Amino acid sequence: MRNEASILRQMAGPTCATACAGRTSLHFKDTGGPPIPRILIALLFLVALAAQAAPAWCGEVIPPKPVDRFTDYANVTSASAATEFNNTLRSYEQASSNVVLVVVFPTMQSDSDIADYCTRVAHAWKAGSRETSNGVVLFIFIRDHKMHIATGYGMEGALPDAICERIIADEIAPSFKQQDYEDGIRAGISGIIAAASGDYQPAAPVAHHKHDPAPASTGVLVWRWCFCIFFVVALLYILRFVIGTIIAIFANIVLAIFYHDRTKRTAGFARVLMWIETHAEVKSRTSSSSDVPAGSHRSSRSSRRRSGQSSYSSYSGSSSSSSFSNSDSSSSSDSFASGGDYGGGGASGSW
Amino acid sequence: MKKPVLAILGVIVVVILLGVLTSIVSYNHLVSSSQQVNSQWAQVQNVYQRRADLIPNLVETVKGSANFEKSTLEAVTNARASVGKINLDTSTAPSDPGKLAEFQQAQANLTGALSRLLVVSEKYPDLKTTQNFRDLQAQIEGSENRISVERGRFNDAVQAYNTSVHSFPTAIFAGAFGFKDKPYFMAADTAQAAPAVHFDSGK
Repeated sequence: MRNEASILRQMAGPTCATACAGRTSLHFKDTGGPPIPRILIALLFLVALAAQAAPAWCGEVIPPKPVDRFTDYANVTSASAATEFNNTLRSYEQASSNVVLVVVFPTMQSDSDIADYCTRVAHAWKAGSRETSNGVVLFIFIRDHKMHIATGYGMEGALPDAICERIIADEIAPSFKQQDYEDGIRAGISGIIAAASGDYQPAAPVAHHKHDPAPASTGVLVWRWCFCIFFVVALLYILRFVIGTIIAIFANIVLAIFYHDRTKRTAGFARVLMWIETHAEVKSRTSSSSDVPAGSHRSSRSSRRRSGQSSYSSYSGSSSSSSFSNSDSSSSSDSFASGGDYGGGGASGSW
Repeated sequence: MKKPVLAILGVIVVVILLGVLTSIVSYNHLVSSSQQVNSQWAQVQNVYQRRADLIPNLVETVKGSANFEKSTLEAVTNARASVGKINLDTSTAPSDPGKLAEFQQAQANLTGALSRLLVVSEKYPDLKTTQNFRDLQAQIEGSENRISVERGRFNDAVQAYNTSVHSFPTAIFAGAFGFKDKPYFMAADTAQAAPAVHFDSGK
């Protein structure tokens, strides 16, 4: 009997409090549990997958981002002309920070409208700075006899659609009609640069640069997560104290009531009192075993930081255009700014 | 004796921690994707407004051309007026599919009237070659491109939002915090109306 009492006393200590707490919440988890949520999860995953059905233009090819300002995949220009165009565009970019790309393709790899397609491609390449979206891309599709100028949000003021249409119809198309691609491109480049310089205002702020909000910097993210984790840890400490106390008291009272033996019942009540007395000690002992949650916080935080890094590094993407022959491979040292957004500005034309 | 207890404690703590973190992350995710939809909606309104602003100028230019078809011009003016009558909140995306459909119908009528006008103008070579008309034509085409781009991005934003409202961990909190489905732009009406206009004027 003494033996039993001592065991019970041990049970009434910290172990009982924590074990009971553990059992009850595990119990909740079991009944809440396995069958329904698993089906629900599966169903919801299916819904999510169905909602992400492929868009209408899934058959088209978004070509890789060009390495340099002028790229000729159709081989209609000579190497010297390509170098000349590249130098012109690069020096303009250095002077004005506006990014102008010219890309010549043999054919359009899409069934959709040229303006839609070129906007998608330009938006994927993101030529231009993140703040001002000051990029312009001239697309030329030789075999389709079509071209398009796509302007970033920040260039819509300097290069309105009407001006783009004039550059295409009046500057480029006449030379293209006579198969003189180099002259046409030269005229187009100088037209774009002249028009963009016409109301040249360095780094004009963009009024409607709304979507794609800049992701919070890593510093802010880390701080936010630190704060969350601190908050959660504090909450858990309080919860553990409250739940542990309640359950231990409850268990002791139940124990005491269900002992019919009067002596044992008083012993039960005594144990409650004893337990409350020793609770301060209990608390100090359990708090020393808090390495487990702290460790898990650390690991979750560091994994978070790691995943953040990987998503940042994927931003600077693979820009190698190996499948195509790049006519100017010598001067691909400096790359243009790539953070610009395109909203369908520009004009299309044919020859 | 002590080890399994510690393990259980650890598991519980991790589970609770994950639950709380998930709720925070889901809530923030819902708020940000809902804001994304709203800002994209403002962008859609922006490009529709841009097109509407071009119309008085276009009408003036076309009027200058001798005996231009009156009915075509009137159709454009009327469609423009009916678009102006629809009052939709510009700052928050509509939550009522009916209202969005009404807005879309009015805009589709304007698209149809405009494209008919551009087609009819082919019959007026003196008008077609003026620089003013050429510029306006380029601007209207550019506006239509912008509209299709921004509508597509609006639908993408709504899709991302609706997906997170319905997908598992977020779905629990979406109901509790009152996040509901948002309607899409539907392509069907416009896609059917536009070619009909071309065939009409072709004969």
